Amino acid sequence: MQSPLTQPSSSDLFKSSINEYLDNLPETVHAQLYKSPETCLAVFRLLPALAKFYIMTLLFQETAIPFLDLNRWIRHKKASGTTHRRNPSKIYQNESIKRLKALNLLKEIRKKLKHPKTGKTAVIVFVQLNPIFRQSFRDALTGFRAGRQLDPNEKITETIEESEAKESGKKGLKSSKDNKSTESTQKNLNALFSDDNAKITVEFLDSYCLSKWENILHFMVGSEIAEYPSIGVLTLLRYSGLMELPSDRQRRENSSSGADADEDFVVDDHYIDGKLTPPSGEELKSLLITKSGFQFLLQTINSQIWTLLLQYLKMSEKLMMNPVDVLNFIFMLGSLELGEGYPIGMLSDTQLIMLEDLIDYGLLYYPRDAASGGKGKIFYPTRLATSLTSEQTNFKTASAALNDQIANPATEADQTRVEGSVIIETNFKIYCYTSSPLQIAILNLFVHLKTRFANMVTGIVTRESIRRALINGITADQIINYLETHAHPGMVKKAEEKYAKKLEFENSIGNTYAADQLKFEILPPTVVDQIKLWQLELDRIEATNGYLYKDFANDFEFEKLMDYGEEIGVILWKDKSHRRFFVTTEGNTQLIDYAKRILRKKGE
Amino acid sequence: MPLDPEEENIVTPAGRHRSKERASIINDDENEQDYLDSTDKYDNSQHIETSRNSNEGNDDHDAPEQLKGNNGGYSWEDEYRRSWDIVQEDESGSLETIVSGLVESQKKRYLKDTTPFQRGIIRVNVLVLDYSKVMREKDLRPNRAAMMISYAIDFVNEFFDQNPISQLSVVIMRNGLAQIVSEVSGNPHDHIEALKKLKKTDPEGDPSLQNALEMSRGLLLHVPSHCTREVLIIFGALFTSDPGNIHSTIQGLVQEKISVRVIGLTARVAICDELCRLTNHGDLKSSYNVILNEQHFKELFMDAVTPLAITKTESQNKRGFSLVKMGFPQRVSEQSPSFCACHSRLVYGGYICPNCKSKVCVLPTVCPCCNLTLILSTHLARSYHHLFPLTLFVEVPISSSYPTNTCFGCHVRFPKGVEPSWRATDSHKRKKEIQSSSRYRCTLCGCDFCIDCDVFIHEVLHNCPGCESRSRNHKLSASIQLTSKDLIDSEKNRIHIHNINS
Amino acid sequence: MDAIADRAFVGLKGNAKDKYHILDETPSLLTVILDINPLEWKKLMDSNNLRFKDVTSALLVMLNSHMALNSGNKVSLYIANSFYHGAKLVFPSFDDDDNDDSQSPNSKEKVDDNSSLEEEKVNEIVKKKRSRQRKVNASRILETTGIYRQFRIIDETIVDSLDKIIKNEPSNLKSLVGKGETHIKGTLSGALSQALSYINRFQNSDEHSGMKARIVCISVSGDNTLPYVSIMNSIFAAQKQKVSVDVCKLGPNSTFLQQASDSTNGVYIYIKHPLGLIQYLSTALFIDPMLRPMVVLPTNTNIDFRASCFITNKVVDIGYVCSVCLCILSVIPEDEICPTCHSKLDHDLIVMLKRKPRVLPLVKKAKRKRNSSTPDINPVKKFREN
Repeated sequence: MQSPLTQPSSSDLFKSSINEYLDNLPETVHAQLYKSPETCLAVFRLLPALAKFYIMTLLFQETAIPFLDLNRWIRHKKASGTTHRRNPSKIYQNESIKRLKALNLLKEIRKKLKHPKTGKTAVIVFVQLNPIFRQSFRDALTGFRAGRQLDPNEKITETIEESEAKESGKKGLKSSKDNKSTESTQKNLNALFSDDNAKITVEFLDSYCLSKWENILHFMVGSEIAEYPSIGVLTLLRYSGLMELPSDRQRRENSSSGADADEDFVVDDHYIDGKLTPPSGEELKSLLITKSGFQFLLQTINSQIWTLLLQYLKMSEKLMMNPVDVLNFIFMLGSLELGEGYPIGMLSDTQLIMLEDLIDYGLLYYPRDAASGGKGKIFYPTRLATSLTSEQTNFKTASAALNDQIANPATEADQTRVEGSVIIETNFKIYCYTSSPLQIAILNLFVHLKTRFANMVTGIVTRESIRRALINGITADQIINYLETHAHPGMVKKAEEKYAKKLEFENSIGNTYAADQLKFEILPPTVVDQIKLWQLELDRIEATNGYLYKDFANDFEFEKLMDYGEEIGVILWKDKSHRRFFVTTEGNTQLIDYAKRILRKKGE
Repeated sequence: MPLDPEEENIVTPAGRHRSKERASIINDDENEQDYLDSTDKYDNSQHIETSRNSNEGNDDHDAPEQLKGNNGGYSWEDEYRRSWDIVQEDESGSLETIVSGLVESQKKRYLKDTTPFQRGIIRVNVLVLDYSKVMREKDLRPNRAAMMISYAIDFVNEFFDQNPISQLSVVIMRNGLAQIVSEVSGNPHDHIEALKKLKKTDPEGDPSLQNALEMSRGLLLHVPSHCTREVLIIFGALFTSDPGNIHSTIQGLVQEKISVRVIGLTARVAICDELCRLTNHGDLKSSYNVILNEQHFKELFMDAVTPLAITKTESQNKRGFSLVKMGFPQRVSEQSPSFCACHSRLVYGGYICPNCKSKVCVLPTVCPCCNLTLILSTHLARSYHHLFPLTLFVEVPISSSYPTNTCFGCHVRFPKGVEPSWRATDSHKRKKEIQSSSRYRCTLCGCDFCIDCDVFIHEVLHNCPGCESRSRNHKLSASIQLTSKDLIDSEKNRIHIHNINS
Repeated sequence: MDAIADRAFVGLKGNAKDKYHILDETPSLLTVILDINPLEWKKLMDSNNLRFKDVTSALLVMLNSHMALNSGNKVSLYIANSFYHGAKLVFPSFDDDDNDDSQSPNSKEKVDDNSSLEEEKVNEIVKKKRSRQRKVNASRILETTGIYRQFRIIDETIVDSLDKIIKNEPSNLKSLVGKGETHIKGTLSGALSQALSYINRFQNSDEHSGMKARIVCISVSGDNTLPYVSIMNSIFAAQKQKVSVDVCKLGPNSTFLQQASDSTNGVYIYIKHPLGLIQYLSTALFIDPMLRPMVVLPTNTNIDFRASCFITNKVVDIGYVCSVCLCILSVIPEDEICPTCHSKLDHDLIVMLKRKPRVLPLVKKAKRKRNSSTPDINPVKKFREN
């Protein structure tokens, strides 16, 4: 798998990369992962909405259902005379099913059935949910393994009670000594739930994790900081290619091409294989930020953490850590309770190593001096950890959240956090209500800052400032995305009103095509277009990997294939007169399948 | 408005204004001269509310209602108020109570008259749109004609939403002629389609009120006696080019008992004034209005949706009210398409007339086969809130403690009670005017609601959650008895209205 | 200018994806209204061998699943009951002064010496309550966290408050029966009204602005327990707020709830086998608002749009409507006065309406004149004469 940082084309790449990572795991790993209800829940949340719906329909279904039934749920709109041929629901459905299959959640069973009347045999594809996942996810929803607060049907209760008995038996036998099975780890973890957490408050944890995380970001930006992040963090930053040693940079510049892919490779090499000694801590403190590092800074805090965790996963694989253990631990963090302490006693060895690292990132808090009892050393998950598998509503950026913390430190950890603070006008002027040096530093990456007030900075977006950012490797999409996610609530509200008004207008004059085409624009379109144009000034050619289809035997085949391709939205370019079209890499297999089907039909 | 500039500019250390002329508006018991500016803001809103509320004419003021400022003159004659003068810290140095009070006082409470009236529910309305050259003006965006049509489409939707068994027709004034856009029909889709088509043509020529009125009269000629006959004119021009004597046309309308409502887009025109006065028993206030802005335009348009109350004379002249036979069809879906009786189109499903079993595709309509009025029961139910309006909630007076802590509807937390005897100083008294208990109580069930729920319940829901949530025994019959009593009561009101009109 | 063309090309590619990307992110609110009319439940339990707790457990799984969809998702639960509690919000619980921890142990003993048909019911409830009590206590002792935290909070609150309500039920029921009040109306409309005002507040708050919402009614009572006008008002409010009302119907079919789901783009499901309730709750009744545009709703397309007569409470398909108050009558009132608004009705018209169809000789048909005064009614008769 390629490192996600080597292809900075897509803006939501960081978010999708965890999906990508999960997709590419082998089936055996999936099977092990799905044993944990927490992991199932986390995986479930990462799926598209339709895939979630499919899972729910299959979850309490005891028998397999025909594949066609899944299609039947989807409304297939007839294209109503317009040239707009792409069928978005179909694309979406394909996407959802593809994801389910990739995660081994959906299993296809082919059955030969005799038609009751005609007596012809036909192969019908049935689908079923992965049985391990189904069991675990049911458990997650019904809470069987835990307190049995629900009143399950008797039949199921029995089986669960049995399994509970087994579990508890296991628990007794295996103490913390040997528990490769993560399942029982969690059991222990849950059972040994401790409640003497009087000292550690949620506010404390919030400020703790934010200061940790901000510290890392400050280090990346290169601002003055009192305490350097730990060596573990620095190593990971370097490994992931977000930062590099001056010597790395020289080597890269010396090497002929300086291609990004090489960069990773070099770093891997001397670190893992030990050909070169790992750089010392002092050396690491002189790390410099790279192109991908700049991009990293523009992400939301949640995707920043995921990016680092993914890199961590990759690094841990090389270090021969069990990926199932690692993943389970990460996913489990999402379901822990904020402000509660958990004893470390029952973590597996791998997870103990992880614990150290996660403390460095600020995901966990672990009072080192607390000698509270022999076995019961306790760690506390912070908000960064508990919101891992949630939406990013909790806080958008570390800086924004920190502002809020400063503003009203006494508030409960309710969800009402100020989210955005940036206002951009059509005349390219930017106003940002912030006093965080970090956010100012980030803005400074692509804005020509003019004045700074007690609680806000103003600046202007210019061709030069954007070009500077682009040369640093930041893409226009990233800048736009950053501005969108950090937009002031007032801007969002205004955009919503405008959108509603336009939609109403288009609908009222019956221009449905235009209504479909309407986009929800938070930022002024002039600014967005201009930023994109500035980028296009720099790179005039965009390369897309894919396949060229040509030399069709007849018009029929060409039209048929092209229509299908357009419907599923994979055709990038077409030339009707020469009967050629170009298809994306992802769409190719689907199109080939379809072509085969047509040919087969013809053959029959 | 005479103002003493010197006195106006005296600012006390606490940031208050001294202004004498305010005293005239504020309640009699508060005769001190030292007032927060905010009080008149507050009072102002109350003032408008009361004027909206009462049916008596506010003839002592010279400006029309919407333009009225604090002092009875035009609002632009008022002095400029600085928003920061309103805010003032309380004893503990907190602004919270005052700010929340201000926020609330700015929300408009729903204070429409809720006395049930006997209304003409079955209406036949001709919508006359000015489509002359003046409608190309761009003072409304994108231009007058486009905005008028988009509002007209909203109007048609809303009209049939709330008057399901009424009928409508659309006529335009263009090139000195009156042209029918859509015939009298009870199907909103016909009108909307026609209006959408109209959008593609350009406004042209001069308007002719007389032609439009004659055309409307023709359209309303065959309307049965139990229906009300109405004309709604959107008039953009300041003139009319007529072929004959418009005054005789107006006399004709009066004889036919057609009531005309006009919404002017530019300024008041004498002929419209006369037209409305004569056809509405002299009630000019609700029948002839000129828009102030886009929002006001929409409001005026939507006001026409509510059915008119029946005046005493009308109800006396009649032999009695009619009973209409109606069918409530079932919706069916079919495997194979079949022709519908109304458009002869192939459709997959539709509604089956319970009388003759023919299939129609849209409701409400009149069965093309047996002439039975077909309607969904939901359509009828939409009108019920006109007839059985929900009683208004009353504001709970400020006290030290209240029986409830949260709103019954949305469970938002109410502010705590304040001690009434708590230092009855000047400043406190002032603050009390801004503060409120934030509780609005239903008099029937005694549940408290917040202002947002109050507005929502009266404007959208038309149900009191509190009354509905109590265990009901013979509630329905009780409510019917209640409403009938109210209707009898409203008889008196009608006489009252009639008196004003004549 | 090539650049601009290029951009459109890129934009097209990203468009559809973005659209659904945004869709995926929006959390939603699920409001469940549980009808707990004890008389109806009793009937249902007898005929279907269904226990109330089966329903609650299925319901809890549904709520959990909704929470599992998206961490921003919210749930709320109302109960509608005609007795002591009326309609009430169960979850999220706002700490109202619920101090009456009524342990009322004497209610059990009292109940035992009752010997009417209600008694069985009462006993059952007591039994149910006792078993539940044990369950709740057990869960308290265990105090485990194996279940996802949010789920646990929801489940515990709901089970606790349902328990409390059911505990109070026998004595309330008895007092009502003792008074001889037999006609009991459901308060579904009250629960709906409350839920809608809650949703209104929710959608207008800064925190959750733009959040979609839907309502699921689990109803057991028939139409005769529903107040027509208030239910209709609630339906229109829901329609205006774009809130879908899904109906899970146990017990007798309900015309009004069918109309409710139809006019709000909801799902109406009549459940024949209540034991498989969870299956329905997790599929057909589990369509998130944002999926609605693209999913085929598994709803019945044959809908009965009949209304109920204001006097006889019968459901009618052809009725007479008073032009003043729009009340629906199944028969023409004898005294020619509208029973609801007391308006005097037009005598001539009533005579016309009452006229029975006559068979006329064919010869006369051509000469017959139209009676122009009642164009909308007369042709019916004419049609029938043919």
